Amino acid sequence: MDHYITAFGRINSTQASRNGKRFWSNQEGLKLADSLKAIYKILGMNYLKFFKMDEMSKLGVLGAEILLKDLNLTYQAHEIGILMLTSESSLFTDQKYFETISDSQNYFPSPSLFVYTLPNIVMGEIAIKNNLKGENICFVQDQFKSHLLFDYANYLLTRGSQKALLLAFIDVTKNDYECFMILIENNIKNNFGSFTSSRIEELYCNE
Amino acid sequence: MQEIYLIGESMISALGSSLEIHQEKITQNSSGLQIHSLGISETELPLGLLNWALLENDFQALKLNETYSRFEKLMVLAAQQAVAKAGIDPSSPNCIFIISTTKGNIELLDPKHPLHDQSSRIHLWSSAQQISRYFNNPNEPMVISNACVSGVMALNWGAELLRMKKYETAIVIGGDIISHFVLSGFQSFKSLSAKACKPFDRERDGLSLGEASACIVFSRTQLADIALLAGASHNDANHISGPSRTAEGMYYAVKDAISYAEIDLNQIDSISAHGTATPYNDEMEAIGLQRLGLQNVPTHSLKGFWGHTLGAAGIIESAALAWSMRVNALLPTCGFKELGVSVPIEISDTISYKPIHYALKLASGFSGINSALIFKKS
Repeated sequence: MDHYITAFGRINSTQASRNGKRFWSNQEGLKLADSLKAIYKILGMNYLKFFKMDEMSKLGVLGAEILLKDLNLTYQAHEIGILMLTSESSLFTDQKYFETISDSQNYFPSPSLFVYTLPNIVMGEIAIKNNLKGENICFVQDQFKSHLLFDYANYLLTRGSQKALLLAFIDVTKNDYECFMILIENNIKNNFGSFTSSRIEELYCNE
Repeated sequence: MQEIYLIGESMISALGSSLEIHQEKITQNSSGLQIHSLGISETELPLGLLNWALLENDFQALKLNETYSRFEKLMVLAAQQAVAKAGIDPSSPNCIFIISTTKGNIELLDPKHPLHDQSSRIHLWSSAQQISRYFNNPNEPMVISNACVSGVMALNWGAELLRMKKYETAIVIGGDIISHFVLSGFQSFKSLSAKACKPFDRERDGLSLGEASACIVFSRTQLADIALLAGASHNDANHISGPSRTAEGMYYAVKDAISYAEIDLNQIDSISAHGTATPYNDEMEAIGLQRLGLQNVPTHSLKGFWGHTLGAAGIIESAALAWSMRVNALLPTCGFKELGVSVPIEISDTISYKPIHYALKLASGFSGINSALIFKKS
């Protein structure tokens, strides 16, 4: 069975794009929180849960929205999975949470912050927003690894339980952020190429 | 599905640091959870803490000096024990390390920690490199951090990498230690029980945290009696910090795992549940087991022995399950007395013996994820 890349998108500190076309430029030099809000507005989202999320989850939910917004996926919910890779994991939020517990005079651990100190929570948020009940996995490696995403996706697609997969690379640090996503589908041909490790690498590097 | 063999295991928990002590304590239904007061709040809580003073002798024997964090020392020790049993060469290019953890070196966030300045080591990938480098392994270690299903998913991926013939052997290590970070978080969630946890019991009211590490070494070619057949995971798409009331994800995870293992549900002889002893988790698993028609299959949870050990959980519980299959034992659920879920399921409260051919391992975690593994004894 052949699989194809049917959509891809990116958000970073300078731009947001869908299928290689830029739809937002950070001309005002907005910081992370304001950039996320600006992209949320441009995408025309109306999802109140968004504002309760940490930055990593917001970034991932926006990335998924870019890909899935105008698509009408006809698979069953449990046939659509999410694979992610991150090098920073949830450290940006971990640091924030740590600050709420490091001073005994100012000790306010919050469950709504603590839950985001796991990198895979972003997949839960994307799953809830888009009703995706398929496989999930979160790898933490030192950088983007197209071959790892390819190998895992290929394993799931080949054995047949998953008909579509969202592959994501998501990183948030104090000074920078990045979200790169691609959608892989079963037997849907289009212009973005066959699903191969080198094609993922090319799309990641080319923009 | 090609069988991938378990050729070496290790378990380090509040029960002790050898397989033998784990087997002895589990057989006696004797818990390692003890009351401690930790953290800023100093609330008294039952916890499955490791005996770090005793472990220090093991660390020194392995020449693990202070350039290693205590998390890394623990992971190396677990791997060393399992590798010794397996008799493989961990420095071979045909061997891959897979690390399962939720918080790894999170203690390094504290500016007072001696390794705080080793800024990259807070990263899970960097800590994983420190661990695999100890064994002179040339491959980049893989890290899976998927909340409480990390261990189960790491085992599944380790086995799959061997099926894909990328490597001959895989060393899958899981671990997490109790830090102020993790403890305060679970306290803030109000998910900790004031008493040692009681999985599936009427009086269960929360989990007990534990720290542990465990390792399973897989081989594609070196035959052994226990094999991993298949695994799967599914998200509930329902809530990030609570399970589905209909066990949606767990149901599909088991269905898929069974189908890829090419067996039938009615061939399962023993089930190792996630069984955290929170009201919602155990209820969800019971509903899922009933939906699957597995309500009469003997089921246990091991959390009452050493607590919920997060990134170690799937691996230490699978290592115990593998042993139980070898000796044909249905393991006890430490802390369980009277069934407290809404559907009748078969929770084993004492050890008993029956031939076991196939076993199911379950796990669920934050983000709404559920995983299942199928093991076979030949």
